[in-house]
Amino acid sequence: MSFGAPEWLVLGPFLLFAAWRFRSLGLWALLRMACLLLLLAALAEPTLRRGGRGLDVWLLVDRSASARDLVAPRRAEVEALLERSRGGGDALHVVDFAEEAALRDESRGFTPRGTETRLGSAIRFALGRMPPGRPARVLLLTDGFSTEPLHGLPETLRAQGIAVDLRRVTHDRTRDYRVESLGLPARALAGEPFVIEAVVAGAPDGDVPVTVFREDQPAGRGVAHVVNGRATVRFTDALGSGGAFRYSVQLGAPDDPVKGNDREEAWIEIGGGPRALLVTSHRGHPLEAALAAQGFAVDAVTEPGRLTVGRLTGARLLVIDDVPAHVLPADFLAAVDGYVRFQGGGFLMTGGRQSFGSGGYFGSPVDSVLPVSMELKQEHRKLAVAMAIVLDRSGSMAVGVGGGATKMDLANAGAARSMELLGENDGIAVFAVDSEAHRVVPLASLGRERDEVADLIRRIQSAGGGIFVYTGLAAAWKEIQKAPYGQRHIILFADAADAEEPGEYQRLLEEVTAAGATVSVIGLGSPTDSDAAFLRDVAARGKGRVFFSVDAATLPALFAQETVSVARSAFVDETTGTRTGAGWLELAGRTLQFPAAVDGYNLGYLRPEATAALVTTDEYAAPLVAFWHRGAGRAAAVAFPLAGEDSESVRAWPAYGDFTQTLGRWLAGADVPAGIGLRTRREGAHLVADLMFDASWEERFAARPPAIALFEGASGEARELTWERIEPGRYRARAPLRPGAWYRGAVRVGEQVLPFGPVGSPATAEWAMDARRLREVEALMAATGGEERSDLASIWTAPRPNPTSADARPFVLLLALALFLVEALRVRMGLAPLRSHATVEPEPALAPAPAPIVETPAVRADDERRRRRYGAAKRS
Amino acid sequence: MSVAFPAGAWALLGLAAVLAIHLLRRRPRRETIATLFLVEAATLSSPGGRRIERVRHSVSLWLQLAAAALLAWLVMGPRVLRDETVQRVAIVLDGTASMGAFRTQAEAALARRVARWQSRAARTEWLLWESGLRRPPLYAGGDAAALLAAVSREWDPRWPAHDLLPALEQARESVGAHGLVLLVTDHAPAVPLGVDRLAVGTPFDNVGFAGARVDSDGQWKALVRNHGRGPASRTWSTLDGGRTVPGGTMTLAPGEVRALSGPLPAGELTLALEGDAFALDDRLPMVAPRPKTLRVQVGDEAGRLPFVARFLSSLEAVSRDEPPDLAIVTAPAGVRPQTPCPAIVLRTDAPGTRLLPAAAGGAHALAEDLDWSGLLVRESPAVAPVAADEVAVWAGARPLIFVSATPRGPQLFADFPLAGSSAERLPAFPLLLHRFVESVRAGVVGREQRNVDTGAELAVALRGDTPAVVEAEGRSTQPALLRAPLSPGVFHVREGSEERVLGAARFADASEADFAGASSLDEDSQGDGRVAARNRRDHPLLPWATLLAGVLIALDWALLARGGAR
Repeated sequence: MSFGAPEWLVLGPFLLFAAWRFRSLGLWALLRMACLLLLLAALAEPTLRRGGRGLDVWLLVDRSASARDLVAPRRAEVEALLERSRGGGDALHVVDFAEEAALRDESRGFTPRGTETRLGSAIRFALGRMPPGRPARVLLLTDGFSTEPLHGLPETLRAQGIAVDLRRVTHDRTRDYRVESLGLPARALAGEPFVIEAVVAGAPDGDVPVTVFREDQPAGRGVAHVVNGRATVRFTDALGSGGAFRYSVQLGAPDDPVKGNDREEAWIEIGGGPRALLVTSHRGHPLEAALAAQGFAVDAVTEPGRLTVGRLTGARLLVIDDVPAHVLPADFLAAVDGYVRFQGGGFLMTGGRQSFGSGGYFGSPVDSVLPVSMELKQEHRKLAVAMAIVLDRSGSMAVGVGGGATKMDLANAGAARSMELLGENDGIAVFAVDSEAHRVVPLASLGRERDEVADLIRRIQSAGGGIFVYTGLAAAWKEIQKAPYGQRHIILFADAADAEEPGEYQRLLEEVTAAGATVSVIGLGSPTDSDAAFLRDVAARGKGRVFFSVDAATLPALFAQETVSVARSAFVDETTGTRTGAGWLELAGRTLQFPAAVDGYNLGYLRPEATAALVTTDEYAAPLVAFWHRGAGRAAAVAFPLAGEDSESVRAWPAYGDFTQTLGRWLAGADVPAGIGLRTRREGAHLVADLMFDASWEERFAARPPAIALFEGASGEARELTWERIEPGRYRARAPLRPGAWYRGAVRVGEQVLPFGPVGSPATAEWAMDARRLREVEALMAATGGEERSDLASIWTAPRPNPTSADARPFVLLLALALFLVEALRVRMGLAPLRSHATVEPEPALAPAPAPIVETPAVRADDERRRRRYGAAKRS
Repeated sequence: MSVAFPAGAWALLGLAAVLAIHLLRRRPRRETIATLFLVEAATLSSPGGRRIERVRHSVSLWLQLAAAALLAWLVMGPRVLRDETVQRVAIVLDGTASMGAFRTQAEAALARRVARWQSRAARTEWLLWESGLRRPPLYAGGDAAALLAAVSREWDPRWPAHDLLPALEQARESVGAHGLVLLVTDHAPAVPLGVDRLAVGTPFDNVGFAGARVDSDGQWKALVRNHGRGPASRTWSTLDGGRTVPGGTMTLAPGEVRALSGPLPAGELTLALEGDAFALDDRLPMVAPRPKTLRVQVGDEAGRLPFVARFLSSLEAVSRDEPPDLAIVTAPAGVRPQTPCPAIVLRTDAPGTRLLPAAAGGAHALAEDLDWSGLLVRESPAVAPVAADEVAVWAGARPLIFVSATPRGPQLFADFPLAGSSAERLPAFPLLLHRFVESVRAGVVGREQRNVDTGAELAVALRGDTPAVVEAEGRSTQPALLRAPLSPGVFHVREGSEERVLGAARFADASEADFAGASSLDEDSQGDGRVAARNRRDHPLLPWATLLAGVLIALDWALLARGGAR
């Protein structure tokens, strides 16, 4: 308790004097004295301090690419200075952040991954770990260029009473060369040469090595001769296949202090006729010839790992044929939904042992696009599965991923998701591994104890160190080795940059696979991380699958994909009869003679709004050919193989070509009528889209104006842009682009769609060094009562923010009112006052004799008069 | 004045408690006395009887009521505005045409909101923007009345659809982190965090013109759309030189688009629809479009080239009058000819034998989306490059087609011998030349006739010796940026005594004419008292009121002690 106006307390002695001097007021009575003292206290503005006496300083250390080198030499000094100058009760917490944030104590030396400066996320991460009520300040050690907006943070910080201080590090710009622009035609035709022109600027004059990359592969090298601060270098290239391709130029000047502006990238769209992208595991797929005969330029891809999102550009049709989900790049897979729903693309998945649920597509981004669902149904499960999940709980898992969750939380959610997808007869064991394997859930059939098991899994916490892979795998194998289950499978979840102790994993995996068990790996990180090769080898030797994801939010989906692949009896490898449905006529002008039987098929379930053209005659009546409209696009599923194993009878089917061509034609949709064109370009940090149309479109647009949607990256949410009429026959839309991001979009004109993109933004967010971002940090500092600190020690004596103390006046006054009312009631009821010990009552003149207790009313004037008359009469 | 703890109002129950206490019959206090001489007096009072009695007025009652009321007021934490408090409020008025239908409602709603927000700080700095940011702030200052007057006077919601986001971001940046941003609109668009929406729209049915064109044969065609949800009938007419000619009545189904057509008389024509709540799309003016005439000078040698003759015949509105606006000339290899005006420079010298590397398009507007893969060019001497040259097409490192800036205008060089190349047969080459010619025509000072959208920017080449004026509906304005009028009608752009443009501005933004999505919304995210709390301080009488409460209480006790509380 403290007082805002203690000078009023000086009235206290006066109050005591009054109580002594005017005894008839009865101020020595407890209630009266307490009431007046409370009023006196209210005058002095009492406040209650919360959270103790000390101050917590949360030092947020910027470890992003742009600040790393600047901060590193100062970091230790800053931390030591703060430690030395803090007082008793004060505490210093250090959070390292880049794209992720980690508390130094929890992560045990782990450096947060990523290059960008996610300052907002880091502050929220710190806020989530602050003890409630404890006074705290945030000190940022950064260059101040956040790569994400700080919307909403001022209010949050003010509500918690947290001030943000700043210790800024600044960049040295001498000897800085930069890519001023990268010129590239927006479009070219397949085989047509085009010029890539890079303008290099900087000082001093001299030669700067330049490398041009196509999709991150070097495509040319040159030297920019910088004269008067500028130079231009040109390269020529030509591409043979359609799609969108990303070019970048990289400067190689040694000792350039600002590396981030040494790179610039741009996209070019290679056009041509209608194109079909066929992703298949079978070379010389019969579909190639069928689609080519229909006029498609077929882009057959048998190395799916090299696919990029740009390959979808200009493709009217995407076919995924017997290729497992885990070999497709995550970005590409995530982009399929937008390609179909917004860009009006056609999507076909065809059957095989590596397709649909067996291929790991359950829960994947394309799941919702398909007209068949792949969920696990009890009656269609394989033999009971014993699944052991080995979870990495090393220090890196303590890193925050936004929303107050850590990587560990999401990994736990993934393991719990696996458990949910398993059946009652399946068993699960879960190990949390750091330098030891801790058995969290012993192997047992799930039965009805799912909630308890899920609860155990979700409570796993990161404990520091790295994951000991061999120890974890050995413990898991020991657990399921002798279990009486038809299938045994291990899922290893590990940080791809922090997986330790290979041990004798080759021998162990030989033993595992020899016993018929399998091992899959889910790696958190990218395939280029330091331990990714080791994890890939574990999966290869374990005869399982390997997934890598840098986005921890995808972990639950990856666990689900893997579980369904293992536990679901998705491919029926028996010859099965077929029955034609009426649905085929919805996409073809005439009926088709389907094969009487197929050699095998993927078991799926028709979604409610989809149509089946062919179903099985077995007890499942499963859809063999199904299709539907999905947003602006169309999707179809052919559940039986069209090539390779189990496709003999289908390939011998006389109407094979007719079937695939009809389906391909329907999926590709109608051509956009003539008289309309879309041009997109980048103007600074904005996308500009011009829709030009001739008079024949006026009537259509009068009935239904065109709509344009833009979505960021592979799976960003679509946002609608506003068209402005520039002139008759021309609309224009503009949208700001986030640095470092890329975008796709689509213009809907009637029933047709004009897709566009990818369009890249001008620079990586990290090196854009947008002055607005710096101003935003300064505004945050001002809004929260923080300041730029050159004297770091002064932070410990900085004013405590107000919310750490609460105004106690209302409560004091309320108590005074209550006492006052009780006292009034006491008087009214004629009760004796409570006396304090200090009260001195005048002794009666005579010792009290047993006397009758009489009740007298309060003194009244007529009684007084009567008493006086009585006394006079007695004396006379 | 406001209170910090509204829940403290419950303390007013103390008044009821005082009254309740005084409803109780006063009970005598037990006293022990040393003599019996008061016994007689004591017997006058009876300990029995009713426990509740009528409230009797007494000084004690009034003192207690006053003290209880004062304490309740204090518990609520009375606060007053700080004298130094300033709040910054940015108001963005939706300037799109659909707002015109709700202008009255918007002004009334805004006046109420301004009054409410004004009470939250001692001084409010208002900043008024119109979306689209085509104009500077309509008002900036601390006078709410002047702000509302500026809304009435300056707000001009007749613009075609546009993105509201830039104006909202501008407003947010202007008022800073503590400022308030309000968007006044007629629907519920997505807005950035921290922006409140005050939407005043209500859906209604509208029928209007949704587009028109005038064909080269002089026939006009206009589209009428029923944007409503029910069938609608409208009468239409034509206004031709001040004469109104009835056109007829039509009934349109919901969403139906009907085309009207007819021959365009010489000069101009205006179609009119029977009026409704949204008037902008009820008039449709038209003029016969005529581009500016381009005076082309063809050099002797160039004139003999069949390609040049074919190219000239494909151009619209050209003449051979003097002085020329564009020259088409030939030049020897490696020479930059002097021309009196912008020029296309071709080469007729003999080509070499060796083919140059395949042509490649650069990032140049003239070459955009043109296929150069079929352009075969033979080796020949090239013009010495200049830093300012903008290359459109390359053959390896050798510029093939480029634009060179000269004091007399741009020169387009096709820097290769036409003979022996495939340029004449390649569609991309004449298309590129066409683009260049049109860019030159855009810079020519002359007269033209155009049909444009209302509010559209007008790219008009001017001599620049006198300011250009836009005349419409008998009024003349001299804008910094030439625009078509915001209301449909025929207009003129004049420079001095010369007419540069005879135009017809028409409203054809179907998205603005459709009121199905209009809605109402009244957001006040700061209405929870946060702003008020920030801008207020304790009532200055707070300590004195506390002292007064103590005095009242003490007085009550003193009166009770002396038995004179009646």
